[in-house]
Amino acid sequence: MGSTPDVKDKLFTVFMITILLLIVWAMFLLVLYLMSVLVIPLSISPHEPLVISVYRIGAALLILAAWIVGWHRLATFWLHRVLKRGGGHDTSGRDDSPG
Amino acid sequence: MSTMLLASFILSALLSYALVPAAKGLAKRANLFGVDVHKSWRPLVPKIGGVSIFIGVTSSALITSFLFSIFDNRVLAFITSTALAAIVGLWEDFRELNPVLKPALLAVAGLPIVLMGAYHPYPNLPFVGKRMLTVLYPILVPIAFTVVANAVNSMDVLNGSMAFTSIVAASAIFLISLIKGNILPAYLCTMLLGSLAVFAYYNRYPARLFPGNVGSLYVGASLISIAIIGSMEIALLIAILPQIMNEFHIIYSMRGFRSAKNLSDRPVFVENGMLFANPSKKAPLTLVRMLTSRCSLSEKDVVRMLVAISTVSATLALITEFLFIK
Repeated sequence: MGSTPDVKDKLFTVFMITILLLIVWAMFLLVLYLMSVLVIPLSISPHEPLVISVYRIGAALLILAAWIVGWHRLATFWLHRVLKRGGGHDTSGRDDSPG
Repeated sequence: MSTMLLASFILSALLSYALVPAAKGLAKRANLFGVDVHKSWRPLVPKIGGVSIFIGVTSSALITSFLFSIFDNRVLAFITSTALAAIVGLWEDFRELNPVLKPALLAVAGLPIVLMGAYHPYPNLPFVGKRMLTVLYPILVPIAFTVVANAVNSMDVLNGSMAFTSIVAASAIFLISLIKGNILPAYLCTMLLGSLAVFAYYNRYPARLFPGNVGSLYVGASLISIAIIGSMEIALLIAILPQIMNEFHIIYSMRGFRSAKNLSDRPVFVENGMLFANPSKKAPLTLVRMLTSRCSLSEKDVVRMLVAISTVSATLALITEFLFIK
């Protein structure tokens, strides 16, 4: 089973996830900025060609997808590094959790 | 204004408190129990406690909006959209929904907001100000409903985790509305907070009542409805970043919408009441797995940590709203 938790371990984990959250937040602001500058114009002409509208929606989805993939990869890298350092847990005699 | 906010908070809390025994009774009659797998004695807990939040907030909204003469299309859109989300949740509590059908039904729940015109298609974006999204915005509303309702739903894994993290997010939205003098969203938030506060008392460790899908989807739908009605979409998305991260980690790890019950590798294991991360690379990534990766933790500790992270997120939402949005 995993090591006994102490306050230092708990604080460190919360600190690391807070850092990850700050990165995700900064990336989100950047994504919104990019979308508002590159994808969403200040005003759309009522006679805008359909191709341009499709481009806008496609580009917005691509930027959002890149944001999600970016922080998911970052979190996966961090988690696997922590688990590798911890040497893994003995999973015998355990119950499954929905967490 | 303060009288209205206080009255709606108290009424919503009292109604939810009065409805808890009925929700428990309904769960018993319909044999709707969930196994609390994080306890060594594995108790059976009634799992549609969210009905008390749903009926508590809806009744309170109907009574107080007529009492204070503020009933309009936005209040009606809020009641209808959130009720539809609650019905989808209740349906899933009775009979498991197809994992692809559920997001589609939640998108339908967002339609009353669009059809009743309870939105402003000019979102205020960080750094650049208002942008005109008259065509795109109505398409984004149902998508936002699905994302937010599912995100809140994905956080309902431990005793009190959904209720307490949602209280933090709703408080951030309430504060923003209050500071901006936006009365209607503040009023809707007070009712949600009143109901959630009562429910959290029953759902805290050791839980005597689970919210069920009816509770978590209703709370998620309420949060996004309030944000859309009050033009605080960006602030809400930031306030619930932990929930959104959790949701997309799960979807990405499982390669799409799939039932969590079919997972071969669980994200977290439990032994003697302690939670620890599954070291397998195949196990899905979740916030709880990340929190328990360094050392095993008790359920109470994990919930406290989730609330701490949600508080950071709520603070970031306030910073974004008041510093970066013109």
